[in-house]
This record gives sequence, C-alpha cells and structure tokens, in this order.
Amino acid sequence: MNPFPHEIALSEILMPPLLVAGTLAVIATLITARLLNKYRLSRHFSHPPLVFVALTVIYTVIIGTFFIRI
Amino acid sequence: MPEKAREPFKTALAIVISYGIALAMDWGNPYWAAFAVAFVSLSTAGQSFNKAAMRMFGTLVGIVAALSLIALFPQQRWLFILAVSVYVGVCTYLMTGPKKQYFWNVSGFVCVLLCMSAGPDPVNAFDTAVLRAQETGLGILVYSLVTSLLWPVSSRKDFFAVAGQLASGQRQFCQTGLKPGQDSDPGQAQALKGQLLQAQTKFQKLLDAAESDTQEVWEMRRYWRLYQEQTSKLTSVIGSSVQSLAELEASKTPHLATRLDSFLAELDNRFAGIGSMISGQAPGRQPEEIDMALDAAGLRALSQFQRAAVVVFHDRLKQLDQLTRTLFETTRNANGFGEAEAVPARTALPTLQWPDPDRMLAVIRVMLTLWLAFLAWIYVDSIPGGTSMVTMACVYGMIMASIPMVTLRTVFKPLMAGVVFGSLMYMLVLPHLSGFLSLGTLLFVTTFSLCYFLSDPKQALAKTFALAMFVSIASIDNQQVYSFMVVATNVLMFPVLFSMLAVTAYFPVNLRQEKSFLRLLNRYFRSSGGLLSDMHRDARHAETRFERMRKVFHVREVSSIPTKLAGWAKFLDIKVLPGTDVKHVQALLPRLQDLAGRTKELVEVRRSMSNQRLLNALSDEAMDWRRNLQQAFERLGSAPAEIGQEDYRTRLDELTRRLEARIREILDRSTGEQISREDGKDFYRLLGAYRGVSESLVGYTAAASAIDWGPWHEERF
Repeated sequence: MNPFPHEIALSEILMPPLLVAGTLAVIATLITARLLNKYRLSRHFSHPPLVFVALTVIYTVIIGTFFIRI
Repeated sequence: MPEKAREPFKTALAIVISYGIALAMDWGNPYWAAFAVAFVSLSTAGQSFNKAAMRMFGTLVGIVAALSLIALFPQQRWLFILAVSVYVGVCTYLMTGPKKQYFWNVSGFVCVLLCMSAGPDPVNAFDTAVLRAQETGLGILVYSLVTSLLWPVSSRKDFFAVAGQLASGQRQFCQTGLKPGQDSDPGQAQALKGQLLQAQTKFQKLLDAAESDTQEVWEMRRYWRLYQEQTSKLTSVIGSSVQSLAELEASKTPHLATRLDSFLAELDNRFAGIGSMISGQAPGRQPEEIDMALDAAGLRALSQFQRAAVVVFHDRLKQLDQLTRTLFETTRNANGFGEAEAVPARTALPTLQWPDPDRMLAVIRVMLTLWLAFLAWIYVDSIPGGTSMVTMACVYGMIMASIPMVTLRTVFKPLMAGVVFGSLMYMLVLPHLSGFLSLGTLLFVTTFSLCYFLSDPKQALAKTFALAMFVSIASIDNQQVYSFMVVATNVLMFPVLFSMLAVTAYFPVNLRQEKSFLRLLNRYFRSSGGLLSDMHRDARHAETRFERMRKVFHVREVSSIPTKLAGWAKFLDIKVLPGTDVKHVQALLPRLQDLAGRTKELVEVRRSMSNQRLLNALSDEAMDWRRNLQQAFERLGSAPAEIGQEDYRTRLDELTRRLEARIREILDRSTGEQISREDGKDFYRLLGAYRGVSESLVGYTAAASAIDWGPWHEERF
C-alpha cells in the first residue's frame, strides 16, 4: 500500500509530515550540537553553522525515511 | 501617589484615552495609537517628548518613502522589493550612527509596514498611510498632554546634577592623579576615569532630554553641546597627563615643571568656578595666566628619552591649561554669565568618510533577513503571519542589528512570554467584556500592572514585549472578532521569524561574541598598522583625497573599537572560554584606549615635524622602530598574545638604546643654527611619542597574556 500522501493529527490539528520531521530534526540537531560543544568536538569543523544545517537535513531525511514517512 | 506608580499610571491612562478616541472615531487599527504611547513613555517629560518627536517625524518620512515606492513600482514585484530593502538598508546604516537612531528606526519599519499592508492593496495605500500618521499623532498627543499635566518630571534637575558631577569628577581626577610624589593607585585613576566616562554618556542623554523640556538649556543648547565636546576632550587629556606623570615617576625622572603646585591650584580654582556656575552662582574669580616653565638645567642633565618624556608631560600640562580655560568660558556662556552672543557659530559639516564596517554589517544583516522573509512570503504557501511576518522581520532585524552582541535567546524568551500573556488575555478575558467601561478598565489595569511590576531598567525588554504583544494580539476594534487563528499565527510566526534571524546571525559573518571580539581586535591592530605605514611620508607632501579618507578611517577605527569592544565584553559567554576571566578582559580595554591615543599622537607629531634634516638623520633607526611596531601590530591582530611581554620589553630596550645613541650623535654634531629650540622640542615630542606607543604596547601584551586565547579561536556551534 502506498503510504503517501498523509497527514499527522495532533489534537485534531492536521500537520504535514515534513513539518513534524523537520521539527524533530531541529531538536535532534540541537542535542547533537550541544554534545559536540560539551566534548569540544566542534572545534574540528571549519564552519559549525553550516554543519548545523547539514545535520538538520540529514536528520530530516533519516526521520522522514524510517520513522514518519514524508 | 508613590513615585514608582506615577509613570505606570500616566502610561495606562494615556493608552485608555487613545483607545477611547480612536474607537469613538471608528478608526481602523486603533492599537497603532496605543503602540505610540507604549513606546514613547520614558521617565522624564523631556526624554518622552524627544522620542515622541522622533517617532512622529520618522513615521512621516516612512510614509512618504512608502507611497513613493508604491507609486514608482506598481507592477514590478522584484524591483519594488529591492527598492524597499535598499531603503531599509539606508535607514539601518543611519540608525546605527551616533544621532537620531530612533527616527531612522521608525522611518525604516514604517515604510515596510505600509508597503506590506498597502502594497498588495495599492488603492487604499494613501488611506492606510494617513491612518498610521493620525493614530501615531493621536498617541503622542495624548501621552504628551497626560505627562505634562500629571506630575510633570523635568530633566532639568538631573541635567545640572550630572553637569556638576562632571566638573567635580574632573577636579578630583586632577587632584589625585597630578600630585607628584604620591604613590597613586593606577586602579583608582582608572576607576575615576571610568566614572567620568559614564557621567559623559549620561550627560549626552540628559542634554537631549533637557533641550526638549528646559527652556534655559534649549536657548543655550549649542554652548551645552560645546561643553559636552570639551569635557570629553578634557577627560582624555587629564588621563594622558596622569599617565605621563606616572611613567615619569616609575622611571624616576623628575617632572621639572617649576610651578606645578600653583598650576594645580589654579586648575582647582577653575573647576570650582565651573561647578559654581553650573549650580547657578557667579564664578568667584576669573582664570589667571600661569607661567609654566621647565627647569632648563635639570633638563640638560637627563638622557634623551627622559628629556622626551618631560617635554611630552609639559605639553600635556599646557593642553590642560588651554582646555580648562576654554571650558570655563563655555560654561560661563552656557549658564548666562558671559557677554558672548546667544549662540556660537555652527561647526563645519563632516567630511566624506569611508563607511563603518560594523554599520555595513548591520545593513547586510537587516537586508538579508528582509529578503528571507520576502522569499518565504512569496514562495511558501500560507506562511504564518504573511505580510505581518515581513514587517516583523524588519522590526526585529533592525532591533537585533543595533544590539548584535545580544543573543537571540535573550530576546526570544521575553517575546514568547509576551505572546503567551497576550494570547491568554485574548482567549480567556476579552470575550467576557462588553462596552468601553469594562474594556477601558482591563486596558488600564493590564498596562498599569505591566509598567509597575516591570519598571526596573533590566526588565525594559520584557515590559516592551509584553505590552506590544498584548496590544497586537488583542487587536481591539469596534467590530471585535475572536479567532484561534490569531493566537496560532502569532505562536508560529515568531519561531519562523527567529529562525531567519538565527541564519543571519551566522551568515555571512559569525556574530558569536568571542569571534566578534577577535575580529574587532584584528581590525584595531590593522588600522593601527595602517596609521603607522603612512607616517614616513614627507610632511610637505600634500595628502590626496584618498589618503586623507584612509587616514580618517583608520583614526576612527582605533578610536571607536575600544568602546565597541567594551560593549561586546559585557556579553561574553565566559563558561565556554576556560582560562578567561572577565576582569582580565576588562583590563584590556583601557590599554587599547591608551594605545590608540598614543598611536594617534605619534602620527600627529610626526606629521607636524618640519625639520627634514633631523628626520633624515634619524630615518634608518626610526624606520626600524616603525617596522618593528607594524610587525607587532600585524601579529597581535591575528594572535592577541602570541609574543610575551618580556619579548617586547627586550626588543623595546634594544631599540631605545640604539635610537638614543644615534640621537646623541646627531645632537653632538649639530650646531645652534641647524637645530632651533622649537625643532629640538619637536624632536623630543617625536621620541616621547615613539616611546609612548612602545610602552603602551608592552602594557597591552602584559594584559593580554593573562588570558588563554586558545579557546577563543576554537570553532563552536
């Protein structure tokens, strides 16, 4: 069965799956960035803001492929 | 009524009256009048009138700009957006300048607001613009009347008190710092200078306010502006004199000023006279002539560099004499004790200058935020807020551009608290009201409570956002409607908006506090090096326009960057910078100010030297010294503490020794005809200036080496 298109209902408010996946991706990226800062691993990147954007995209694709199905 | 409750009472009353009139006249968007009241209410009538005038004129200019742009680009969407963003960019540049910041801020966002609300509906553009102007005018008029009639607070008392504080502070600074033989505490001198600088900033704000609400200050405003300028210069000269004396004492060199005690007594009398004129009494006595002579025999017994240091100190005392005399005259005229004309001549218009890099960065940030919002509005279907989001992008973009050192988190939290507060009022309280009596009571109670409980200056941001969000979400109108969409739109719009602001905080330039601090340091040292690189030019060679602009740019950079750094230093996140103490960072700033003053002095002294024979004789050693300094500036720009204090000290001592030997050789060979007395003095001034820059540099490296700069260079999210 083709699962697309579909919407996610949160308290009777319908949301597009990309929005939910994107929001979860931003939260996951924030946690990752915090951990990378804490263990001083972020110093190995030349431009962390770009890495932040890249991580958000990667997480969105992962969450959208395996968990929410965008 | 207690004093703390008066200002909230006046604001609340003005908001209720403004709403009442706007609703009775059936004007659309009556909250625009309430906005005007909420944003112009300040602690004194003068400050409020000043801000109100800027809001009104800014609105009018914004309206003219918006209507012109709508008329010029009726069917060209991209050109229209481009023109709007360029206009906002110009307003942002002027807003981040020294004068009329609020005027340009209002002018920029009112233009975007009208373009966004009237652009898609050009038929009603003129009506919307007129409505905005009349409601802003209404809010300002109502608040001005309320504040003038109920417990009017004039700026007069505070203004004269701060002017008096400035005079007494400078008097104390001279007394403590210029008495030879005392073991003066450099920390105390620094603290006194800091207090004076704070008083100067306060004086500037109060002068703006007093011009609006105090007739006698308005009449003599140009003298007061002159007083402000001269006070600032005098503080700087006292600071340099104190430091010169401290350096003389540290190197055990006698100051050789034969009548220093009478000079200090005369300065004391002048400051006392200035103080009494500010407090409204005629000065007891007029400034007297002081014969400041140097002990010639003592001077001959000193080494060349010691002589240079003494000549420099003596020069500063002369400057002090001249400046205090001028300040005395200005104070006399400003307070009506003089016989001069009512207004002095206006100063010349400023010359054309290269743009300030920080202000250009603010322009880029605002324009980029605006473009992101425009593109989101055009390409993302039903984006929360729509045109309101574009307007808010301009408003918040301009706010953040004027305070780039503040993190988005600091602004986002009180803003969202304001959104939640406004939403709760909108959903839970407003639907139960009927008639203006109950609405007016709610408006009064809410405004009064917010202004009363958030009256601390530290809570100003929270108060502004809570008031703005309450007024904007409530959207009170004669045909009041309630919809959950209003709340949902606001709750979703601000996170989207702040995501755009977050993007522009990192692209194209990373605005993290420590990165910005390092970038400013780098620019400071590059400009210091730039000033030195032009020094070898022959004094008789006429500067081209390009060279003059370049020099003015470098001078402005080295003078302004220490103040900018002080702003950034307050917001440094020390937790992520192990090995850094706030005290050590603060200690760097006076060192940089000192170095800036010394570098400018060196350039000026070198420029004024007329005896080319002397300069040529010294050219190799001087060039060697200058190259060393330039290299040091270059290295310090990229790594603030790459070389230690000892290394600089060793190099400096070596250069001093060689230069001294060379000077002795030149002077021994010279006869009286070749080197006049004035030339000799100029020569010592130049040596003193070289020495001063080098000593300052050693002082800076000592302060910088207390900080571990490694973590500052590390990249972080």
